[in-house]
Amino acid sequence: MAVSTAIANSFKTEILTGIHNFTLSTGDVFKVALYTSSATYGASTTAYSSTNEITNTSGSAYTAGGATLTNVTPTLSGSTAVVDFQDVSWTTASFTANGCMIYNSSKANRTVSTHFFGGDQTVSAGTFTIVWPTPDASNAIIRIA
Amino acid sequence: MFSASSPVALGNLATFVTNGGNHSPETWANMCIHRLLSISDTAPQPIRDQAHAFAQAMRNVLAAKFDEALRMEREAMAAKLEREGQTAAAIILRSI
Repeated sequence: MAVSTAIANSFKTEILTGIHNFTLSTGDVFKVALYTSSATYGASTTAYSSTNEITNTSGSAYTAGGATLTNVTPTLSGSTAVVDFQDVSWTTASFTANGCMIYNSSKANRTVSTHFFGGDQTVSAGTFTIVWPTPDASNAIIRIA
Repeated sequence: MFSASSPVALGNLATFVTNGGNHSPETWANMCIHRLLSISDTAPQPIRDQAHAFAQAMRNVLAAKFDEALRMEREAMAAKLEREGQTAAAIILRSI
């Protein structure tokens, strides 16, 4: 079992009711939480949960709930609206993560999307960085065509 | 009747792990390439080859410049420490 890469089904209706705001500075606060391979989050997930969230194997780099993301105000790439965030890192970190969940901490921790890392990613007293894809019409982390 | 589909699509993130410290200049360069450049697997082979060659050229330049920037930053800090009388600390910093 593992986190699957999926847009939350609930997110699709929530954007149509104006729940999520990805605007830089004045928008909602989004966070990214990391999960172990025992987690089973995906398209049917509706909100953040601490079940099977990772813990530090040493130190305290990771805190429950994950890291706060810095929004990049959505733009149009051609005729596709794209969402982007600044990359996020955990330093002096020791943990193993198998996937993550992006969620809106300003709106009852509603799930935006879940992402599988392709397998366990283990960091030991080092730096773990999530790099979002090229923010264009073909690759952006979230896009509406 | 007219209709159109407008899918909500998800992109692919990447993870970078460096054990025992911070990312190297080469890793930072790779992260930049991931952000700046995406090469389609279905593009014609000559185009893909050209894109990969361009990505490698960018990677080399970025890694070299990041390394240079880090060295200059450490030298600036070492010089400041020396001016403040912290010679031993400056020597350690220059040895990194």
